[in-house]
Amino acid sequence: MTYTAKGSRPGYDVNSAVDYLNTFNSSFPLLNLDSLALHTGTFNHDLGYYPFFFITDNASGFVPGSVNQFSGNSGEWSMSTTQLVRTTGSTSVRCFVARLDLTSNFSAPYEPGSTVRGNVNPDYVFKIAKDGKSTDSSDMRDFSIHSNTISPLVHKVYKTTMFASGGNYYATVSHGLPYTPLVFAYIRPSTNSLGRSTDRYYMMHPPIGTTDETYLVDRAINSVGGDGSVTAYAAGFSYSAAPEVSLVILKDPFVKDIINVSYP
Amino acid sequence: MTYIAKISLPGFDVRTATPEQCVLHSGYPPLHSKLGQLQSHSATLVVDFTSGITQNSTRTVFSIDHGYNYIPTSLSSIKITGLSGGLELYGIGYTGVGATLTIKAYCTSTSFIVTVYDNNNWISNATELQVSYNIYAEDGT
Repeated sequence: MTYTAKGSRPGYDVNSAVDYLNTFNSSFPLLNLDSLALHTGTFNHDLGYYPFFFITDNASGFVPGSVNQFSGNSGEWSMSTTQLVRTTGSTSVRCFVARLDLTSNFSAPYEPGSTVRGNVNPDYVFKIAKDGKSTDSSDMRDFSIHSNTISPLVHKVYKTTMFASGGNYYATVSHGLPYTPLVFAYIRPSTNSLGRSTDRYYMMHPPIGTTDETYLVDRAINSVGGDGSVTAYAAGFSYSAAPEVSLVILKDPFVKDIINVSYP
Repeated sequence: MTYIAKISLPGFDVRTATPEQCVLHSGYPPLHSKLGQLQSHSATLVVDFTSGITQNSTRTVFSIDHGYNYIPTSLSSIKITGLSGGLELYGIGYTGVGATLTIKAYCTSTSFIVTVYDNNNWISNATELQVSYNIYAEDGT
């Protein structure tokens, strides 16, 4: 017999809600953070594996890990098994490191269900405060878990060596979801002409034209013209052997509640 | 004494599970995006451009008050289609074409905003911008 512990968002029946409307579900992990501190340079995480990471900058909101025209003063960052390494730039940025091993493959089931929202009873809350904080706090930063919030849910981690095709390198995996999910992609370079380390993971950028590497999230499985896959690409003219990639697929849909705006 | 609340993944003994083997672990909390806000902290913005935009000027196409008195973290997946030449661009928080086109989605100390800069007539009435965003309570920069 399999036991499941789960909570759903306010207004959604925990017994029938589709899994991405869970606040937590014992079948798949939250994106649990190890640290989210400000840094100006290389720092140690000492986790002993390559962890999921991203970096934010108040000028751009987000910092791709690989050197490109958008790195600017935020610089180039890459992840080893012990450090988040900065090779360019010196401004203060916030670095998020999660307790999720980019090289440990994981695949969650998809639990279909209802997306119908019922009435919300504000009298019921499930919450766990951080050590030293009060459960009466109104600051969401004081909580480990709070049922009036949502957090990223991990659906799949897929690490593989890319395959050669047409002079370039590719990796592809089915996300297996009936919607387009949010995805992060990381590359561990092979021998390359870009001056990048071969023992660190760099965050890849979604398609922005001609680049050395990129990834694309296809539409939902069974959709017209879509095959429900995530495909990563690395240019053969930059890499002399197949790199490794790690694709982290969240359960969070790209299309959520829609806000329509016309401009100008 | 420190207390820990945790749920382990299937197949792992919760008494010995490491944080990596846990669904949730009170010592390693995730990001938190508030629900039930008057202006949603988790949504997909769809901007339908009705014409080109003023050139060589950063334009704010969307702005909401997030209700925090600091700069919170945000994660935004960007997709813009129907650009000049049939170009499509994607990004997380940021995308564009060199110095001629820039789309940003980020938080200030009061607002979540989406801005567009165009200096090469990339945008027209055929252009659609989608921004799937989450505003989290955790400190940004």
